[in-house]
Amino acid sequence: MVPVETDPLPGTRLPQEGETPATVLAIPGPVVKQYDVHDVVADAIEAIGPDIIIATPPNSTHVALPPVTRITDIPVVDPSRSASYHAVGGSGVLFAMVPTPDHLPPTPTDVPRETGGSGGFAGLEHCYLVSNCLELTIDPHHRETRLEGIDEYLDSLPDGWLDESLITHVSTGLRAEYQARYETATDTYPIHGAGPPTSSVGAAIDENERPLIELSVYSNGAIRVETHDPTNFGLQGLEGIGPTKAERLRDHGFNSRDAIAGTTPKALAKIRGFGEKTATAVHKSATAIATGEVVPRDGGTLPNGDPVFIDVETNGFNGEIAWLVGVLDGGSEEGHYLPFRQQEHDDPIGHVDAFMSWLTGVAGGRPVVAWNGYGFDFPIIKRHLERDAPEWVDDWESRYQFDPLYYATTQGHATFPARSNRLEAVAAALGWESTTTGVDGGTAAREYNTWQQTANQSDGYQPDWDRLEAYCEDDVRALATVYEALQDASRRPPGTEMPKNRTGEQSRQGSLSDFS
Amino acid sequence: MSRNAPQRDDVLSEEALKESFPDYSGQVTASEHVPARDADTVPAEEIIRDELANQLDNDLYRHQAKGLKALADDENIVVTTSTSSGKTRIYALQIARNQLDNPDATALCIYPMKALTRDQERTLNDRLAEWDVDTRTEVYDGDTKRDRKRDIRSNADTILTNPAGLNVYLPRHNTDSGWSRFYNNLELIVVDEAHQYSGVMGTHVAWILRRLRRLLKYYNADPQFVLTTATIGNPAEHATRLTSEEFTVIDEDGSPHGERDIVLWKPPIDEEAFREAEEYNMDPSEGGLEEFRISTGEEAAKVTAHLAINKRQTLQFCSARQGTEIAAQKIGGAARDHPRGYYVDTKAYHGGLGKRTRRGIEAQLQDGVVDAVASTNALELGIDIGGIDATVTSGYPGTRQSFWQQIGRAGRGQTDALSVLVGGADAMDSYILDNPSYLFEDDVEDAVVSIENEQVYADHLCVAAKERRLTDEDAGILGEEDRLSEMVSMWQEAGVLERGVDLENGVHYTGDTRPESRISIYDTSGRQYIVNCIDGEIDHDPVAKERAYRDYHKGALFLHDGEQYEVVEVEHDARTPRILVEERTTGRYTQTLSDKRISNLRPEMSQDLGNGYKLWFGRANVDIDYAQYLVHNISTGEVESGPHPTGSPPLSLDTELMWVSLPSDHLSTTISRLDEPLLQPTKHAEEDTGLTEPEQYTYAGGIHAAEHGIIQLAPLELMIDNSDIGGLSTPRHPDERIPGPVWFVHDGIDGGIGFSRAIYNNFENIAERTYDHLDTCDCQRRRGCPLCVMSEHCGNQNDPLDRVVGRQILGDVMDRL
Ligand SMILES: [Zn+2]
Ligand SMILES: [Zn+2]
Repeated sequence: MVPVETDPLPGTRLPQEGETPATVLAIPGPVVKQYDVHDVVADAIEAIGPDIIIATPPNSTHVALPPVTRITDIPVVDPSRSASYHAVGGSGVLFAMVPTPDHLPPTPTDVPRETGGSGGFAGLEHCYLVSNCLELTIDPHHRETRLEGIDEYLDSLPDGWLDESLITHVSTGLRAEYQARYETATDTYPIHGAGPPTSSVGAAIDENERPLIELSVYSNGAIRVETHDPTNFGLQGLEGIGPTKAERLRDHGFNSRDAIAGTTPKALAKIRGFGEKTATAVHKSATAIATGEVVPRDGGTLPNGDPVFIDVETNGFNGEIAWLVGVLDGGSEEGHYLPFRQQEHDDPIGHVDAFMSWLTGVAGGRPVVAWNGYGFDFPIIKRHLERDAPEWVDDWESRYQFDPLYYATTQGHATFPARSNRLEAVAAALGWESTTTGVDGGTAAREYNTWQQTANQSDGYQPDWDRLEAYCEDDVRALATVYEALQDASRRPPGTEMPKNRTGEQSRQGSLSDFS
Repeated sequence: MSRNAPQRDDVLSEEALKESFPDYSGQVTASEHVPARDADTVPAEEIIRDELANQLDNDLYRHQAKGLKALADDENIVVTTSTSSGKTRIYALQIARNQLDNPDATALCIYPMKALTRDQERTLNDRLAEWDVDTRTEVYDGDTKRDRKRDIRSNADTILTNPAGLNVYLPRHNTDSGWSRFYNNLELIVVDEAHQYSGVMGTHVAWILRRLRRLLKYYNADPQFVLTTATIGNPAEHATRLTSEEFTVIDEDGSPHGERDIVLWKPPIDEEAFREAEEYNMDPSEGGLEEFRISTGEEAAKVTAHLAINKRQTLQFCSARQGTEIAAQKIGGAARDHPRGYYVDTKAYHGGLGKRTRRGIEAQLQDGVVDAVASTNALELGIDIGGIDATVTSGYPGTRQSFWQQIGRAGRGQTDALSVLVGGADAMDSYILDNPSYLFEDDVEDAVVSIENEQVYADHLCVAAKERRLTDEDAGILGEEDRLSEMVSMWQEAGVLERGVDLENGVHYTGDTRPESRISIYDTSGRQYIVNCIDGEIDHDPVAKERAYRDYHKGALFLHDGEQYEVVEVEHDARTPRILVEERTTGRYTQTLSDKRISNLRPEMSQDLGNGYKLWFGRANVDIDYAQYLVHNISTGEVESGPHPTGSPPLSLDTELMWVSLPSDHLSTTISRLDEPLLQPTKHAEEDTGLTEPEQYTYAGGIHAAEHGIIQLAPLELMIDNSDIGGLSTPRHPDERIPGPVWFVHDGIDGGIGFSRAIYNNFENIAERTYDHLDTCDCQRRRGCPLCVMSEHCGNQNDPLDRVVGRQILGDVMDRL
């Protein structure tokens, strides 16, 4: 067996605890063509708050021009057009944007100062060398993946830019999730993507996506990627609004969500194509975001009893092992956090057993709540039990399980005040703040898998368990925040959006079998 | 059973038909009499427990008994008996047995069409209720309501679905509640009408079934398979290729039938039109005398109307291009024009009809209240319509398998039946009318399905990884060890499978969500084109990229369900690529011209025939530019306008192909043996630099004709759709392994779908049939005709083309085989 690399890719490293990353927003050309820049792109910039904006293919030339450059003071750069250098104040991170490496000075410290940030590059910790020189070709006929352009790229790279611990090579021609360590006989090059998928690569990649890409970039070379659907921003981010309706809203002078929240559903219903139903939904959606509150819609009943909030960490996208079951017993602020985590390499069930004992003993009868629980956490726990501890299956199955995401979006019982339905985004809109950075589900899974794969090695890998548990704690507290907001909202009758207008308690009795 | 003095029906026999048909003028070119067969039965209690046997109202046919016995012996079975021989009863009884042994046992049944799924749901429910088996059978597909789905997953004993559905349900095995129960207890998988799975769709189905089997291992389930197919030449091989399991073949049909005549019917020459043309001294065009033949559709309508007037319920099968609505009208018209002028109640049946309408017609057929139905091949499959008196097949359906399925529809129990095949106007029909024994040989085509397409494999591997991490235990079922590990490495390097780990550790999927949604079973690259009509509805399957570029470019005219359409727009870059069409009646047709280049040959197999003759199979890059098209007049065949640009991007295929390379001096030796005068170069040849030499031109026409002939007649041996095959012939090719002239036959789909591989493996038989047909085609023209070597898909306007030289070249190759 080949020894497992414990740090296969620099981009996946954990950054320093508490470090604030530099944020890059990558905008592909079609986004600017297809969406209203003043509405969608402006809102995205406001929401994401990037330090720098880069234009990516296809048609990157459309991006680094007015109107985009006119709506923001943040530098908008097209690396394929000209060389520029940007230091992000305080982070020790330098971005070198070049059409080809020929444009580079001999070493990173020779980068012309006048184009940089105020502090110069004395404290340089990591340099991201951004171009669009590299692309990926997947050739199933020959069962190979090729990094196109790499030979020319490396040929033109000055010798002062070879240090793998200092330089990450970023290409806008590679999709943002792509990362690799390219090895030649003498050197190793960390490579990362920063663009949308451009070439046809098969079923695994949705090549039709032209998303907005947010890269959180750290001073140790770690990069976290998050993609955003442009339709989550601006007027189209409101429920029931597509491009045509957004256009009509603008025609009637409703240029922002605030403007819509400030009018009445009745006024909206006068616009062509807006029935009463659409007008009400749009208004609610705008109100939710404007007031930062969950807006209840018709129907829906939250479970009785104090919920147990859970979040599981698994060994992969469709993983079979819930190696960490994070539990929050109590409210978002004061609740007690219990991490049930796998302790030994070869004991995948002890911690789940402990969790089930706690749940059936201490927390008997209380509903279990998980974000996207029906789609992820609940079935994974069930499969895990079926395989390793079947004696618990009945207890688990008969427990009332509740998924706030399903309740709000699929069943349509509430509207969240966020631009997307990601837990972090929804909770943040409701005032929750994260306390950890640089970890996501993918990183956590990788840490766990590396631990498992090096189990038989004498110096086997030891993840920073505290940090992973803290990340999970962040999520269950975010979940509790959202749940509490749903509770608040359900106490208000539909149609009374203003926070002050709370009326008496509503009956919350419902049949427990509704969602089981 | 004894039949006293057989009373042949007044019209349901060859003789009676000839006698009664108005103005009969010798249309029948051949016929076959199939004597009645008694049921061959086995007492049910010998095979199945009394509990079930007592519930049956009749004994088991021998094939049913054999099938059930094999299943009891833990074997998988593939049943190839005729359409109404009671194949469903075999698996219904197996479901019943499994249920009685274990009330938790489940079964999964997969059907190629939704209509068939609903029909079989009723049948299974009725049977199992009759036998007092307490079980629940449900359809689970795209039409099932969301709230019902959860209940079905959690509680149904038998689930009926289709392959495209299964492709998206499998990855949800551990997120949608109920699947784990269903898979844990799965004891039987039925794949009905499995011969339908060939070509691109077959490749996908083979991988979907492999994914299913691989996932079932994780659920500790090891179900048995029952496959049913029409009669095909290679049932065991086909079943194995689809599932990667071993099978016992059940092919001795024990079901009874009455006497049956099968009649081949050639539409007569329309003497009147012919005389008129002669009077005006008109030049016979490409079609020659054939142009004056009454069309297949008209003639079939006459036969159907005649049978219906004689109170015989008749089902007319129309080809994909003929419209069932138009056929129904024609039957009505023919009935009115009949000497015994009469109204017949005629219906059209096709996939585009609503569920309710379809069900209504099925019931009318069953109850015998409709006189005639014009149908697409949709009614070829096992939908229960009871027995009918006669079938009329309008144009050979492309395969013997299909033809026999259609014929199987005629006959109620043991009554007499008649089936008429009205010949159409292409090479296959022409071959069959000239060689009727072909139809009645004991032989049928092999079904062709390939799992070699790397693109399709690569995509399903991603979905499999999403279903459950890949490990080295998956080698074998998810591809041989090397293939699996190389493809996994490819995806790891692309970043869609977890990096830094190997199959020993298990490799997780890390690509975008829902990869299964980007698999299209009509295409190998996931970029299928949907067809929309801008001024109405059109029920058209999605189209693979390769066909979209050639046949559905902007301005292309095509026939679908009897209507002509024009492509008005093609959206290549849309999220879901789209072909927008408009209904048009133009009197024209279009022909796409192409430039083709074959390079980077990678031979995988070859057969040295000696003396410089060699057969090859392998892979290559095939670059095709369908840049231009011509518009022709339908009646004269002349070019009315063009060439026009198609707007289709160039197509680059990396695909499978076979080629025949000939000795370097073959041109001169062939020419020296010719005693007929050389064909004068046509206008096209004069424009074609490099082929200006008359000898070269003649030879090129010959090798081109051989190439066309092989492609057009390959479906005589193999169940393949030859519009997914392309060819190229040339007196010289730059590849150094090719010393002289060569012709290529390539899969027209990227990555290949096994067609040219099958042609390579069956080359001798195909070449022989092609040679015979080129020799005897009625046209006897040097240039050939659409019934022999002319092809509507030719990118060179069928130029140069030389039937006589083509036959000689084929003969030279056959002498070496
Ligand atoms: Zn001919
Ligand atoms: Zn041709």
